[in-house]
Amino acid sequence: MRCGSYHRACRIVTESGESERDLSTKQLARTSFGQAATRFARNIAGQNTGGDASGNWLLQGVILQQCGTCTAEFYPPRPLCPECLSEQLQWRRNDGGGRVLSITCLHVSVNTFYHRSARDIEPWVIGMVAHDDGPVLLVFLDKSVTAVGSRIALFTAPDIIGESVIIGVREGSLAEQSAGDIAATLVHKDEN
Amino acid sequence: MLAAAGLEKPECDGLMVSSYSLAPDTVVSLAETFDISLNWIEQVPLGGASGIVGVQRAARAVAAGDAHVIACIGGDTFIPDQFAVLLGRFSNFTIDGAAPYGCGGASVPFALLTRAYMETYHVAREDFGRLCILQRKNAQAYQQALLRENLTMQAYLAARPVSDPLGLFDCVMPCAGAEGVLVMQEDRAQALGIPYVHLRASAERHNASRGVAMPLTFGWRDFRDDLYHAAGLRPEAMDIVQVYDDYPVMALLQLEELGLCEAGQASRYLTEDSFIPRDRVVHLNTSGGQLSAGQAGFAGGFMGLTEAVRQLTGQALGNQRAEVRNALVSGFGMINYNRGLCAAAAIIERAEL
Repeated sequence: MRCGSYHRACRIVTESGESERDLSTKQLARTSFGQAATRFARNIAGQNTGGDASGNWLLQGVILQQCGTCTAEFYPPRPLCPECLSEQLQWRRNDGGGRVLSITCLHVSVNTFYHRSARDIEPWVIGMVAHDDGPVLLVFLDKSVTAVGSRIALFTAPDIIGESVIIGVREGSLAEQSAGDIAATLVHKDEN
Repeated sequence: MLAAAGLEKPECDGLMVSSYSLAPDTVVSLAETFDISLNWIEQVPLGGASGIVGVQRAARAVAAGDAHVIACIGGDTFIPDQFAVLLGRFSNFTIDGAAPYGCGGASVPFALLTRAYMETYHVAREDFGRLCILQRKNAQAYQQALLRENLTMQAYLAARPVSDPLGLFDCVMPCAGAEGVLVMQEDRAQALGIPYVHLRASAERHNASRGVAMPLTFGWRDFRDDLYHAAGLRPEAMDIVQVYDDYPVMALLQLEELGLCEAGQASRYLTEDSFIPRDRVVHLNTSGGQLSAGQAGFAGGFMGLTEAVRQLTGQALGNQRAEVRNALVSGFGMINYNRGLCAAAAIIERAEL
């Protein structure tokens, strides 16, 4: 297992101060399911880095739910198993990769936080990925991945409010470095 | 609608409403607002499928005698900040899996779908462009459309990117508006002396693409044989076709799934002026569609229906087509996380007076 930790400061200053940031980032807030996934990821990252993972962290793999009854793995998180309807669910870090189903470069977002007019954000790449174990994921995709069908490695990192997001990069020896580069843009994109 | 039909308010005893911006009010608080007592109410929150689904339910209620005259209304206002919140907080899947990536709303799922469609069927941006240009030409005769100026292929291709391969003219403009129809028994319409159509058949299918990682079909194919059978009509008998056009790829997919042409081939029968599958002219999205008129929230799910009714009753607000008897209308709604969930279609026929 490879794991890294990124400790660049996460300084957030907007033109009109903290309240604008609160308003904008509120749209990034997860439900209890998403928050539980973050807690699980953060715990593993803390264990693996020997710290509390309170700053920036990077984890190989993605956090999926797994059914304790039928072992199905799924995403996005939900209260019961889509295969057998069991409520006996657990979180699991799955370090498998995936295959790119489709790609888009996003220039305009409806999410206020991502409004490019308000912040200096470059267009960013989104991939839809079929995880090797079945779930379909939307991920921040390495912009050098341009072909549908490409194999990718998956990582989990915190976004600007500390909740976990998924990053997809080319498989290979540079995967962790590439994922770290994308993770760094996620926590710094709000900085003026 | 009541005034046009010569009805008094108390004669309307059923109400079906679709609107996201109606909240915190509901169909029943709307009844109090309108000051009417009702025997039957329905609120359909299924986005672009709402019109067909709502009219289908209303028709069954009228047939069962639960109500006699049902007003079916789709309407929304547009307040940009509310709209952004709505799209970002659409469902738990969207909140956890899409919005954190800036992917709230429909453009990213449809961009991903458009690219997959293009690669699977070897379709180019120009092929979508011809549909947008055709619809814009239709809109030029339609005063209600917000976008009526001529659209050239050069302008289509050069439009600023939204979420590639989608550019500005692939995306509907949010706006405010409303559409509606009255549903009643035929003898009532005849007694009132108002123009009307027959609802010959309708169908809905939800979450049809479950289990498919990158779906290219969304439910119409599952019910189309039953739909045409119930209507007693073949796809070749459709003179007017109004498909739901939130993005061009969806319009093409509906034409294909509903059997107007083969999968992946719709754009081959499209020019900038016409849609001619199987050597027969089909009048497509005659009011310019949402790509020209704008998308008035859930009212967008009524637009194809009301335009088809207007065409078949000779009441088009522009672009009246001659010799039209049968119309196919389809709707699509509820983009949850990475795909749309609700597919619906209806076949309506001109009444022979």
